[in-house]
Amino acid sequence: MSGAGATLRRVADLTGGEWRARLAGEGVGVRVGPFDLRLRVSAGALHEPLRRFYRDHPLLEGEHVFSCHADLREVWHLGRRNGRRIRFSVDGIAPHEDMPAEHGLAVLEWGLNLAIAMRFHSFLILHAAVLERHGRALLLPAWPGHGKTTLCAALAHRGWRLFSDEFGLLRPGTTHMLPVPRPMPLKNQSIEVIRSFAPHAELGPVIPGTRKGTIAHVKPPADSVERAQQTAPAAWIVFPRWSAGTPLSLEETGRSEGFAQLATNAFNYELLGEAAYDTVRSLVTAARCFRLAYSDLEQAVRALDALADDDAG
Amino acid sequence: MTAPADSPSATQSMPRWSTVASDELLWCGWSGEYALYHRPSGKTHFVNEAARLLLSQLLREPRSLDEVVAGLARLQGLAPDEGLTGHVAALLLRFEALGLIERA
Repeated sequence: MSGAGATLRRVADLTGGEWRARLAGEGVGVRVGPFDLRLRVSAGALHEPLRRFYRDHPLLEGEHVFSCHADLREVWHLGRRNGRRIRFSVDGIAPHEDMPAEHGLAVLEWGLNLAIAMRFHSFLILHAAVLERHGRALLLPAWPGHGKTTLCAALAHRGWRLFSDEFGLLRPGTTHMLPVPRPMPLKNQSIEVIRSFAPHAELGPVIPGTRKGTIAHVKPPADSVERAQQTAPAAWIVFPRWSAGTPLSLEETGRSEGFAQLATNAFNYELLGEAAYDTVRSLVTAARCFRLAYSDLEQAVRALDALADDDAG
Repeated sequence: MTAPADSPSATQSMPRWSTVASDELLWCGWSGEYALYHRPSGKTHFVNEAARLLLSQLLREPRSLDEVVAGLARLQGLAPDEGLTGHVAALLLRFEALGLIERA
């Protein structure tokens, strides 16, 4: 077991050879926010991109109890669909069919999303991006296609601390959001949008032809990983919606609308029952709720900056 | 022979409803819109002011449809007409199906 007071090494402290050998062999323990993950990846082509994405994350060495064991291995299919495939499993169970090997990075990150959303019900898990500014948390709950990850990636490279592009995580009975900083998957046109918006952002390889189109991941900024144990109270709940040609509009909404939208955006609201109801009630009481409509990313970022800066006084 | 509509036996044959035990329902609301948690089912319902008046005031005691309509009309300054009666009747059946009220 890692000592409670011990300073942990980072993934970057391993040499390339150590990283590849461990990742392909016994696996590597990595701390991602409240989750201690053990990753094992046999596909050699993924080793270097993963080392870049996770290089700032704490390394968990020695004997350790992990939140889950994620395994990504190459397999060969013979028959109608010949060729190299990739198999994702969590704690020995493969939750879906094998995928094309060239989609491995995306498969691993989607698989970790699945594991978090399906298993860790000691948290209320919102489908939301979360970032922090001035010590307070902004939640961006949204269904796929509303531009949440693109907006999140933009904010994370303009002075906001990334918590997550996918999961708004909090313990029932609290309103403090927990960081889970991981690579952010951009889709299709969003890849070039972020390259232009934040040229200093670190993007991974472009992966064409996935079930969600072309994907490229953005590495979480180092500061967001280094401060991943620092929570923040929810202050703003903004429901974003990107649509081409839409003029910017940031409109404060009623708390009842915020409650309804947040409850329907939670992965495990019904599972947690009364605890989830109480927690969402506390969230919409503590935070201001808004609707954000936009097409221009720069304008949207400035509007959210102003919201946070004005409230900070 | 059918009893007159306003006779005691006719009144007694009308269904009457009342809200389930108050500790089975949790309320929170803002500006006339409410999120209601029903503990036995674990479901959350989003209701308006009229529904709240029905569930938390008018149906604390067993009431018939006509009594509920009259009470709601009084509280909300509405005309107790056929339209309101039809609306309330549908609400009562829906709330009963959801387990929020029960027949007395």
